[in-house]
This record gives sequence, C-alpha cells and structure tokens, in this order.
Amino acid sequence: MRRIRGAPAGREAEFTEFVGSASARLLRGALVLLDTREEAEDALQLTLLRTFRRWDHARQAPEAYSRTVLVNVCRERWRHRARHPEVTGLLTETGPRAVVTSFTEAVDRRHVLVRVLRRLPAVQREVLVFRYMLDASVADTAAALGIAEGTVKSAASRGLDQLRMLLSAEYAEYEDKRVRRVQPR
Amino acid sequence: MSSHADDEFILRLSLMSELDDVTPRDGLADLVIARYRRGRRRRFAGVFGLFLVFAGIGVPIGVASASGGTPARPGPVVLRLGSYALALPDRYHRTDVDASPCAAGAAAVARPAGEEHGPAVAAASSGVCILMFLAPLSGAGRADPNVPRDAEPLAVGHYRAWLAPRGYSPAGDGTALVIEGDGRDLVIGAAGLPRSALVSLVSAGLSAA
Repeated sequence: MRRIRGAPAGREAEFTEFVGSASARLLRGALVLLDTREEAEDALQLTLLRTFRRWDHARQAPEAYSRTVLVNVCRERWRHRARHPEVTGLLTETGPRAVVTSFTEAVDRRHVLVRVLRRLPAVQREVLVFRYMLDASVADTAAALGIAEGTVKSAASRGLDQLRMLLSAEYAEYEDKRVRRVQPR
Repeated sequence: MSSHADDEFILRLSLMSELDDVTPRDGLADLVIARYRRGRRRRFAGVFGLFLVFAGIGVPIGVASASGGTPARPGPVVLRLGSYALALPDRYHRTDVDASPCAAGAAAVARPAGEEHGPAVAAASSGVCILMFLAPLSGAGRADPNVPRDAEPLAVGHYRAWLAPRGYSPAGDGTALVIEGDGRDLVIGAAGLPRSALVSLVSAGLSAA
C-alpha cells in the first residue's frame, strides 16, 4: 500500500498553481453562465472545492475536469432558480431598468457582450462559453455538456448568428438614444 | 463559413478585452483549501463520534461471543453498500447487523443523535466484527469539533482514506477507516482486528460495486 503521509502539501501546491492559472477564465465563464458577479464568484469557489476534493483524479486534466464541474454547478443554480422563482425575480431582469442589487452588479452592467450572451438559450450560451472563453475543443465541449459534437457545432453557429443579431439591436438602440440626446427638442 | 471564423475570432478578442478586469480574489486557493479542511473536519468528527460508541460497546461483546451471529455460509463474502463492495476472506460470514457480535455496534449506528445515516452491513469471524456504514451528512451550522490530529491519511487501493489514530478508541483494539466518497464517506469499522490487518483487508477487497 502506498502511504501518502506528507503528500497533501504537494497536492495543495499543485492545486494552488492550477487555481492561479485557470481561475480567471473559469470566473469569466461563470459570469456569462450566471446572472451576477456574486453568483459567479460562489460558483467558482464551489467548482474549485469540488475539483480539489477529487484532485487525485482531476490532476490528470484539471482544466477539463473543472470546466465540467463548473457547468454542473451552473446548471444546479439554474434548476434552483427555476424551483424558487420568487427569489431571483429581480436578478433575472437584465434590461436597463433592472434593479441593481449591489455596486458590483452595477459595475458589471457595462459588460455589454456579457449581457447579450446571457440572453442566449442555455445550450448556445454554454457552447459559446466553452468554445470561446474556456478554450475547449469541440470534442471536450461535447463530452462536458453531454451532447453530440454535431450539436456543439450547430449550437455554436446558431449562437454566433443570434449574438450578431442581438448586438445589432443593442447597437441600434444605443444609436437611437445618442441621436435623441444630441438633438434636443 | 469564413464569416463565422471572423466572428469567432472577434468574439474571443472582445470577450478578452471586455472581461479583462474580472479577476478572482487574492488567496482563492487558500480559501478553497481551508473550506475543504473545515468540511473534512466536520465529516471526520461525526464519523468518529459514531465509531467511538461502536468500538466501545462492540469490542467486548464481539470478543465475548465469538460463536454468535448467523451461521457461516461457504465461499467468500462480499459486503455491498451504496457504490462500494468489500470482498472478505472465506473465514468471514455475513451477519445481520442486529445479531451478535455486531449488535452493539449496529445499535450505535442506528441511533446517532440527530444524524442522517444510511444502512449498515456487517460480517463476522471468530471474535472479529466488521461493520460498514455510510457516514452521516455534516449539517450546516454545526459546531466544528476537535479532530484527532494524528488521523493518518492513506491510499487504500484506489481510494483516499483516513485511519483513526492509535488509542483513539476507548476499547483499545477497535479501529476505523474512513473512505472518502463523493457525497458521503464510507466508514469501515472493525472490532477485534489490528489496524494494519484492517487496512490490508480493505486494500485488497474494496472496489466499486
């Protein structure tokens, strides 16, 4: 039997190094998948905790492991939100008049692209986050999300189309407001 | 297609630039490790709280009534619980957790104050009882009890485990091994069996069911 007395220090050092290199990307992904910075930070902590619990297994491919954990954590939050809609009623409104619950959230509102990404259907959003924020391959994305590779490709393509449309609308609205400000009555 | 390739490139760049200032808090790894240790301590303490009762009562009875329990059945015995299977040598026979020599330990497992627990399974040989149960879930807001500092981390087969420190059990030779699980940990307690023998037994016999 292999004794691992003293091993925790090495385990923790490896994990700390991994957190340093991967946590920013995971946090940004969580920020798109969830509604607020607070939720994203919580999800990141839980993701890292679950990864660390299984570090002996996860260390072989920690990026891929933590990506999968992250999407599962986010899905748990969505399900929780679906079961408790009264709690998150204020948070799901993402329009300009949405209630701002914290300073951090107010700051986050300037992330136009993130706001628009959050309006995409769940699968498209997950695929875009995996492919373009977490740098996962098509095969890795399919495995982590539990969908076919063909679905990943089509969801990415539709997601980009949809994103382009939403951004155009957002830009048109912005231009309209700007013109109205420039030309006072 | 090339339009999509451009979109992909621009999306990556835009996201990088837009979220450049979104960074995790300093010391995040330390925070996570500390949180892990707190959770581990709670689970560990709950498990050993149960085992103390098991070992304290079970060992004397186990040794005193070596011939008790259900009749032996031929062939190796496999104790199955949740996603685990523990294969034991031929000399063991499966026994009801309510039957001697494991009865006292099982009763302790079945009546943990305020704990959620799973079923327990047991096997016995002459003077030895092996009891397997799932550790109680650690509840939020529970006090953070003292942990035996000498609990020994081990690799048992493919599993991470902790061994109760020597002399932790008031019964002297009672011991327990906690196998780290996904949701709940598995506890394998033994009365009348040396620590090294328990570890060897579990290393050789524990697998996924």
